[in-house]
Amino acid sequence: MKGKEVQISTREENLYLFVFDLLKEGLRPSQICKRLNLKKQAMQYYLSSLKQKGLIKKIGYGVWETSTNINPQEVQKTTRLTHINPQQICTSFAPDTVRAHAFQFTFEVPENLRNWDKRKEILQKLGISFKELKVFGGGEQIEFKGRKVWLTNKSIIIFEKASYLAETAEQAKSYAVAEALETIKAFEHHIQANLGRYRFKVSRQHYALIKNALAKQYDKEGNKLYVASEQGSFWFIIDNSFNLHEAETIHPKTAVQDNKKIQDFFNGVKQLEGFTPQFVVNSLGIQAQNIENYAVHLKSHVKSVQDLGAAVLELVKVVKELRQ
Amino acid sequence: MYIKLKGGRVYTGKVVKIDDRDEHHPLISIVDQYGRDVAFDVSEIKLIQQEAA
Repeated sequence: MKGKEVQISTREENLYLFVFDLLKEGLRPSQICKRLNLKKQAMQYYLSSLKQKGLIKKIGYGVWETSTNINPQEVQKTTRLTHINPQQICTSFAPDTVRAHAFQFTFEVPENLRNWDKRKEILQKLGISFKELKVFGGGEQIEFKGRKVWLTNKSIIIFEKASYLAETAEQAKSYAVAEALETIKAFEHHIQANLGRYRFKVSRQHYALIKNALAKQYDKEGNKLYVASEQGSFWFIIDNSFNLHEAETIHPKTAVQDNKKIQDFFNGVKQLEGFTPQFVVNSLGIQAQNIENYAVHLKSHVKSVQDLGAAVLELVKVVKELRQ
Repeated sequence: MYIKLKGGRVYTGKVVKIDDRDEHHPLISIVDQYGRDVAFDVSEIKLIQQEAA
């Protein structure tokens, strides 16, 4: 009896590199389909994945441009990406919603923490892999639940990758801090250490206003904006880093307050429609003209009062003469 | 925000976090209309918009 013919799925095979190489050679997707015996739908699957990874770009009907710098490992690891990505989710938010991100929390290690100086041996004993840190004073880098964690002599630094969304920077920060406290608790358990009462600071924090009007204008013109304080540290930037037309406040200490000021400014502009710098300049011009007119009128009034004064004196003279 | 998942579930609430530690499976956390914390893979989302249609 003839066995049932089984079609072997090509989905399990890694064809990304083949597809990429053939596109680079200048073949069209339909030609690649014939060469690799792929269905149209499968071809679309590979194209969309490579496109979302930013490795290829459509420049015409059936014509794709490939990126020059490519890491084969990266292509091999490429999996089908989700239809909706985090950026697309953020585009659903109202303009000037705050996206807090790039958090770095520094937890102080108590001076009397037992065996902290022998932490390398303990990490090895616990089977936790780490990398040596090439920073001043040395330290270890650990990967914990997808986050980068640095252990130094005086502190534990957690680098948070997630974005927190809220209407205000304070609210977004509170979400991030709540999560950081949960993370450090789990991390204590992971490395079997007890920090006692937590003493920590937020040593990096960025607050971006999504779909900001000013950022849109800058991004449209392909410009970037970096504003530094008088002390020389940047506190406000527009660089379209997340492709969301974001205006970001990034000062490690004042980012929350700065963001509130920026948000209040833009909300103010939105409420006072037509309140533009041009409007202010025009209004000041009108005011100046009014003051000038007033001065001219005042001069003529003074003249009239002087004339009146002279007439009164003349009248007094006449009255005196009549009495005599 | 109004979020509809591919499985049919619908949530109305606030998105509070987008966690892309795993770039292939970004997680989205929301507080729904009943104040519950809900988290799911971004790939589960069918539709997301500011208000219900």
